[in-house]
Amino acid sequence: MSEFADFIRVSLVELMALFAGVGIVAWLLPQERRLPIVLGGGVAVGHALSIFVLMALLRLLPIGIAVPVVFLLALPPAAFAILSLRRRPYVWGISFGWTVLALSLLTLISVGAVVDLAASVWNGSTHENLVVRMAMAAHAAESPWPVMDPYSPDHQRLYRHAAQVWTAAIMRISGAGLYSASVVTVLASVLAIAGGLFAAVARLRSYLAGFLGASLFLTATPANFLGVWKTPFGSLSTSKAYGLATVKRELAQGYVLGHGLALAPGNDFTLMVGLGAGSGAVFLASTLVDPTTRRRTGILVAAMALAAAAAAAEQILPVAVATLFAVAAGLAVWRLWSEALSFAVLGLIASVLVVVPEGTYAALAFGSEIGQRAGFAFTPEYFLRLPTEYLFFAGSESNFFAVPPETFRIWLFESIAIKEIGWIYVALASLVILSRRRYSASILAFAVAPAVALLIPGLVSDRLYEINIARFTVLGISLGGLAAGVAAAELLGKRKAGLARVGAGVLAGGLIVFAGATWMLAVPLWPAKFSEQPYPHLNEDLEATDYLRSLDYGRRALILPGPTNKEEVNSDGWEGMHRFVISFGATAIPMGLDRWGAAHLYQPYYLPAYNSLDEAAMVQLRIDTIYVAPYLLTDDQERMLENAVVEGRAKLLFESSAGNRQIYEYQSR
Amino acid sequence: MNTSPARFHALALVGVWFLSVLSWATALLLPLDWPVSSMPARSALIAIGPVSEFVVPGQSFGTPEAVSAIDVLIRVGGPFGASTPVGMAVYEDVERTSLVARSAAEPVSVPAGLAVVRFDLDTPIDGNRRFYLELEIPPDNPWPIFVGGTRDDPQRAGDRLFLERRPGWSDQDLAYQFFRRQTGVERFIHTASVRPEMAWTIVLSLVAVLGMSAGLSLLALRNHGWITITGSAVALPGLALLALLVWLFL
Repeated sequence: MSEFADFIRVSLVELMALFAGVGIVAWLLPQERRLPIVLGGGVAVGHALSIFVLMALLRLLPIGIAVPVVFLLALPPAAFAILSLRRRPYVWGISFGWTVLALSLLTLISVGAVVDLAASVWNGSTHENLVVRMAMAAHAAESPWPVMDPYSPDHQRLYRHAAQVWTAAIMRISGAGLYSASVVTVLASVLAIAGGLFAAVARLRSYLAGFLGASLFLTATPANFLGVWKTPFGSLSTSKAYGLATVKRELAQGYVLGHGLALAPGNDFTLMVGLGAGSGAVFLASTLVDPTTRRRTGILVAAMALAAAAAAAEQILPVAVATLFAVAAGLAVWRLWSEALSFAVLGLIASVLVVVPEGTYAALAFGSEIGQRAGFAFTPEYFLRLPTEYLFFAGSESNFFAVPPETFRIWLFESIAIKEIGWIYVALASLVILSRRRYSASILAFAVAPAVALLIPGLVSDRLYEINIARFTVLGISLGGLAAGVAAAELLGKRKAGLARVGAGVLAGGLIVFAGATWMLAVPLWPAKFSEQPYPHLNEDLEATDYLRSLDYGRRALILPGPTNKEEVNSDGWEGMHRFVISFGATAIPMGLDRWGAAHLYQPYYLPAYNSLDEAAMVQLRIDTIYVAPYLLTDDQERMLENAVVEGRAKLLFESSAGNRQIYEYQSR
Repeated sequence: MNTSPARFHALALVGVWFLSVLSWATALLLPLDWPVSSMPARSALIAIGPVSEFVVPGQSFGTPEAVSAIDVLIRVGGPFGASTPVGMAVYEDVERTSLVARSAAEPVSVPAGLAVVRFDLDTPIDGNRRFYLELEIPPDNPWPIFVGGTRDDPQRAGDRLFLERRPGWSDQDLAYQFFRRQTGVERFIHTASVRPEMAWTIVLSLVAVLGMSAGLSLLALRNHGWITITGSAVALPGLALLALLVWLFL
């Protein structure tokens, strides 16, 4: 019951932020009377602006003041939204059938997002990425600003803070727990993406284009369904159902889904938050060609939204700015100087504002002495090549559709690339042809964005983690979905007869199927994500982490037994308790996880601390807590802990209800 | 033969509702074999044997829930296509004091070697209890027979392989998988009781899919009555569910 109340409280808080955006949009677009556009664009703008204002205020105010100020600032526009909805003659304008279809699909997508997140949190189908994101949110909900890296507590984790800080903000205001706040953040992001993109495309083109574009953006994946019937389940069971359930992670990530937003909530929900904010920017950008809007303010608000998006997921900014400049150039060619200037100025202001929030771009611009910055290299030798790792799985054992082993980049037109994302190329070509035939340049922007996202990994490399450049490809696939949706709507909207009409219908249907069928076919796999429970003492872990959170913030724990490096952190070993300590317990584990977290400074101390409770190492790492699973200890570990207790260095503080978890306070002699 | 529009609509209406009822009834009420335990990975398999009427392979085991069929891996050493009848007997315990269930199958020699063989039990055995099974090789069997085993499988901790009715190596087990014959409704009720999150996922997904189907039906059949539209809205997910179950289980 308390968890249900948690969800209600945190949802209401989130809704207020979203609704503030509706008020802002109602003010920016005084002539707009289409309710779906005001509501859709509004939630995306509210989502984005709340994050930007919070991150900007954190430069000036302590977090304990900045968070309530954000929600106080949201009150007037939220009130204006209610007033406008009562007084202005808004019209829904969408038939009942389309409304039911669209809202049901949105519900299904939302269910999928929550299932992916929930299965990752509770059923161990997670990657350490999600644990780090949730841990950052949990720590930001307790700590002063700036929040430190939970695995390197003397250093900042200088990348994409914004989504985690926003999750922490709604935790602080609503008093909700980490899980409910994370779920609501993800759901709000889905709503913002769907609403913002729908409203933007509908304003520029049609409701149908808005519906298909937003739907396919959210569901686009590589077309792995083409090979699913050959999927090597690797199981001797006669039951396909069992095969699906046991290889669910491989199926979900590789054979069936490849990569798309479907997997983002359970892996890196910050991408969802960033895209939600980005959708707000896209919507506002779509209003810049409308002379009835408050354009100057709109540009500023759009730039803030884009900066928020980049602070949550840095890969969005280069793609968005390049697209804005391309649109500006196109408008200049058509001698629409005022509109061209608007788009160019928007790109410039966003590029400046992006350094306001703490995170990747601020660290790149200003440097940092307490955190590892991102590093990028210009590598044109990879031109027209895509990163492969985790992205392209053949779904069959065919050599023709296989990525050669140890190959990190493939040509854009490699056979497997054509099979998996060939539909994006077809969508882009369709948009180019349609724009020329109809003299409708506005649809070209939907082709430019995915093209830029797919081309960037051919020019730039990530020097910290090479694989991270693949984020652009993931974004390119979703943007490809948007392009496919817009192209399909344009084709279906053609009023032609005979063969041309049939051809257009087949092409449109093909684009929809190739972009979205893999996602749709993965829906029956969702329950299987919950089929395993690798945490046999989950309830006791939650009891223990509740206790940890009741102590003063700032504790540093040694996990006994537990992981000592990144690879082990990424496993389900030791009943996964390290995951709960660092996230739900808001307690640091000073092992130095990876290159972002100064592992080289922590590892030399954490290992002796772990192996022998070495006093010097424990002091150096300032470890004051030992989190123990007594029945998992080896004889040596048991003796080591007993000695520490006898010597007065360790004192039992807490034992869980069935005795499977213990928390010791550690004090050096 | 001319068919009037009214007659066509009536036929369409009956057809749509017939499909709805048939698909949902089949999906929900048709008994299917649901896997209730795991099969070892191919890489974890070992061949045990040859076994015979004297070297009887047996296995003690616990049931996670009621079991109506058991798969084991058997290799018939004759030419491809050769077969031999094999029986399975399930007892209360390793002393074989009380026979609980019986089954028979006829494994065939295949190029892959070990083949999955299904033994449908004549009486389902209870869940959360311990039993002992034996494979019965006929005395006149002309071929060498091997059975699939596995080693150090944590999911079979506490179970034990027996050969010649004596305990075998403590870390080795027969490779087996349990199935339970249940209808979709029965399986859903069971799932909801042990894994409510799976049940919620199924319910919410179905509701959303029914909504999408309703939207599509409203758009496609807007000139038809509510009964036709409702029938179509229910039929589409029912047919999709049926197709999924056919692919998964048949």
